[in-house]
Amino acid sequence: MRRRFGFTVVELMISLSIFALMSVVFVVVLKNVTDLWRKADAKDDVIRQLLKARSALARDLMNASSKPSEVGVAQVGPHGNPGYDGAALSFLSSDSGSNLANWTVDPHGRAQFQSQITYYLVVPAVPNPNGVSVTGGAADANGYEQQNPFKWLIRRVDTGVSVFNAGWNSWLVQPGSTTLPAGQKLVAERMLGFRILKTGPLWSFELSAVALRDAQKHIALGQVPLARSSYTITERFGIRTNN
Amino acid sequence: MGFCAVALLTVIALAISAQRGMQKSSDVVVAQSYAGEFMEAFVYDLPPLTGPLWTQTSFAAPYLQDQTQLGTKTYQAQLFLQPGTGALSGLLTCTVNVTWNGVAGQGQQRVSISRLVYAP
Repeated sequence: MRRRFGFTVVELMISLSIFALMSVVFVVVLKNVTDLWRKADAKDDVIRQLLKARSALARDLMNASSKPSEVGVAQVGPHGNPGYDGAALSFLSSDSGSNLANWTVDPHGRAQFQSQITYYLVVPAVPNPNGVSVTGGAADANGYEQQNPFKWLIRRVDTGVSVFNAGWNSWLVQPGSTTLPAGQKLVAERMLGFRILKTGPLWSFELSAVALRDAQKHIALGQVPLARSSYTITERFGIRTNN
Repeated sequence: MGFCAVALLTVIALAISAQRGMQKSSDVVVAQSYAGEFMEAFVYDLPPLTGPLWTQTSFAAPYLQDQTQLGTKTYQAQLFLQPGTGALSGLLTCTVNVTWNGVAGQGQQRVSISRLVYAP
């Protein structure tokens, strides 16, 4: 009888089982790597946003006035939510506001104020990224909104100012477009919180932001309090003014 | 089968390890900021040269302490003072240690910053 070449059913089943197992391993590996990449990327983004905000504040407050009469602190909003959007501060600065080295000093060598700089965290009146819907939740123990992770930290510069404008609270408006008016700049756009814990000359701040790409895979972003979430990074830091 | 099981377990172990490392790195960023703030607050409030602080030869350990909750973790800050000797006489070495509990299995984590301070 002539021998026929080929695989038996048992051999085929064994090879298919091994192939199936290896596929499972491959899928698990791929999923883990993808998850890790997403988490790392999301946290990197948070740290980058916090660093941007912190650097901008540090640079400006170095040139800020230390006199209580030339500094203002307030809360922003609420804009559509029960709690404040965030905090705001305004101060006279010896920087002209445009990062130019055109400082002026008086005969005693003291820097003269050339601008009033205002920082504030606000809920913008523009659609949230990817159509995420954000509802108003309860405010936290300090009265701040804690569910919207898409707030903007805005820096406003009013040049040619040497006397503090006490009416600066009226500048804390909700932006209605992604294009900000002249003199205003978006410092960080995916922020959760900004609080002023202590006013100058040694300022103390708390900034927080959420690892959005990771969080939105696991929770209903914008529907749950995020201040104490494991996806939120909260940073506290101090800055001392020099003027 | 054996190969698949080993590969699967290795991948899971690597993923857990990488995730913990990543968590730790963001905790360290937060802890360093807090340590910097604690140090700044102490330096800002330093008494003048005539104050008793500058004539002391020993200090309570820790000299100051504080704790705060940032996100889901509680961070403890302790400030230690060490009087300078020799060329550093008249100066104080100020060290701030911030500790917190890492995720399961990591135990207590710590960052430390030091600065030489002198009378304002």
